[in-house]
Amino acid sequence: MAEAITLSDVDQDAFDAAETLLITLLREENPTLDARKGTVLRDLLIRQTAIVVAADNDRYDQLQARMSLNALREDPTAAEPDDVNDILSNFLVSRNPGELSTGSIQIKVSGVTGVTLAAGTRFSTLGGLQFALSELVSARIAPDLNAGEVPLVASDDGTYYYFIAPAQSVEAGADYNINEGTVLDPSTTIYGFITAQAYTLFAGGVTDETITEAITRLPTAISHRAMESRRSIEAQLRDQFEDSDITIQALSTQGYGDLTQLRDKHNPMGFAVGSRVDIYARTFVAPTTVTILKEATLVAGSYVFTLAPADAPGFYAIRSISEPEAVISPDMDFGAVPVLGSYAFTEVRSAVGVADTFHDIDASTPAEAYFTVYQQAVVTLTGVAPAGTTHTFKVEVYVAPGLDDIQTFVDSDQIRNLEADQLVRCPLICLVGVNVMVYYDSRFPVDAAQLEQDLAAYINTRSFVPRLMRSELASILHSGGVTRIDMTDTGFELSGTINDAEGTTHVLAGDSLDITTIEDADALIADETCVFAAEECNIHVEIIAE
Amino acid sequence: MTVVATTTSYAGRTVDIELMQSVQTLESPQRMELSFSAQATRIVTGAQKLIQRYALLFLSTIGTVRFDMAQGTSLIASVISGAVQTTGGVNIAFADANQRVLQQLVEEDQQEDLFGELPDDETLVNAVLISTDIDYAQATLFMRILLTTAAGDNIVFVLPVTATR
Repeated sequence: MAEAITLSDVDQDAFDAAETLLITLLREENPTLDARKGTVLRDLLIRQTAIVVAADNDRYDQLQARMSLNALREDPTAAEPDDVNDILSNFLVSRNPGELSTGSIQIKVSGVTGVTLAAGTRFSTLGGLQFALSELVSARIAPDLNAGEVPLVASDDGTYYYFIAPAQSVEAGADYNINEGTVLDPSTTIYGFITAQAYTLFAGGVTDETITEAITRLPTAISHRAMESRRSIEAQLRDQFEDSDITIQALSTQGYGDLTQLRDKHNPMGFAVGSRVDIYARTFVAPTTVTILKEATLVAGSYVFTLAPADAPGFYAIRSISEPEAVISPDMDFGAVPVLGSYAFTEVRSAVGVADTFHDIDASTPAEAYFTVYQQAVVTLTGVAPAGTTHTFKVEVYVAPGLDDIQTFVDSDQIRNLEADQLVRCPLICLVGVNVMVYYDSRFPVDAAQLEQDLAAYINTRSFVPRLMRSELASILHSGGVTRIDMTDTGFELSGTINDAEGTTHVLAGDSLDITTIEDADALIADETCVFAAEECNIHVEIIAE
Repeated sequence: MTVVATTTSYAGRTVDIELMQSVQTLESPQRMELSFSAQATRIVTGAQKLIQRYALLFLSTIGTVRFDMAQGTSLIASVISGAVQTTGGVNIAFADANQRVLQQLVEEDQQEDLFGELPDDETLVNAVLISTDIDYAQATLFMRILLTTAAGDNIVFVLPVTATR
């Protein structure tokens, strides 16, 4: 933390240098001045001035360090975030601040007596990560929903009651993206408390953007700003959303002549014309989900519900469908979509609400609406025994947060390119699973959890690239202190699952997860439309001392 | 024993600001007034400058000068604390303080690259306590000190040390 330098901050070396400089300069200007120790000049004038000069020199050094992004990259503690932003403001950008991780907590209690928890009530993981309730929560057996109360639900076996409370991390950071089912302890006494756990995957936590990352954005930031080129579109969107809750991690724009641009061939001859643009916005670091409760209706022996655009705008895929009470253990999962433990289901997506817009989306080609805010999905659960004409399910959906806000901005009259039709899409997410066995020198222990975090962080920053290779991850592991990696097929498993815009699930595995091997323009699969992402629960590092 | 007259030739000498503006006579007991505001600032060189440097270092209390904790002596602290109660005590305290001042002057005077060459008549080679007087009414110890320069000049001056806080 850089603070203002005062005279008391001057150290001996700085003083000595300043004093010598002053004596030298004074004697050069006036050789007759005696500045030896014991003279009045030295003790009363030069010495005091030297302290001020030394402080000024320190201030100058500090200022110089604060004026250089390269210097700050070497020593980020030399300046406040505002100082960095002051420099970046010259390029019309500021550093992306970290984001809080949000989710919900399932709290189990023993009695039917209502429970009220104040906003800010803390819960913490065994590792010390702290979360706080986002709002006051009053759970009642017979809740007054109009008064904001939430239901206190009896468990299936009647042995306990539970309620769901929204929460967010106390601090920003990707570390706070904890898995569903993570045990949480309250910091205060809750009457009848039994246990608490993450009801949903906590997501959205982003670590502060580093100076290096901000520097890489500068070319885009100083480009011409109009919604007409890849760079300028990115500049415009980043500028608009940099101070918002929406973090644009990466953008890919598909336009005239690009492989996955389907909408520019809407003519009898089927040849491509300009003015159709698809913007794939990665607005997440780790995969982000929203959890919603959907009431399904029994139709022909199966429960059916519709996932509307408002439920999860531009969602990528359904992660799980389960009973409202259920918490699916992430340890049983390895990057599958849907995750193990989910009810089986089928979904049919279609375009909706397009008629009210100027967007050119062919409703007869479902892929054109996939991953946009104009898609809806009719979901049919298979293999769920009927238990009433309606039934409520807990639905987890992978989303790109803020997609609807970005689409609204792109469509705004003040911004939109009058000659273009720009549609925002959630990127296709290749969900990565890693299972690796590594060895380390017993004299220099390594932390498996840290290695898993490092791998996840690396994968989650690989956006719109054609492939992810084991060798890349191996280098991350080596830099984390491991001495040897079991590179056999069973010693280092790497897999990726990706859903395309035709409803097909592709599984990649082996030395390299290569998007180009499954490239399919009609299904919107290309390296310019896909991103790699990993949940930490799908990264398993086994460490062995040797 | 010779008392050197005030230096009048400033040619080729380095100068300092005169600290003891009110001291007109070197060798008679009197109080010194640090009164820069009372009269125009004067410069000093030669014997007066040597006496001034010696006195300033002699009367500085060791450990009180920031960034040079070794500067000065412990004489003032000893007198004020009552540790010096006899003539013998004065001699011991002077011997210790004098040794420190001589050492500091020699170290500094050797840095000719930075400060230039010092004339012999400004280079101290020895200092001796000739006699002491105590003014009980003023609680002041007067030390009559003989300085000997490299040029062979002998300078006697009286240095007052007040014991009141």
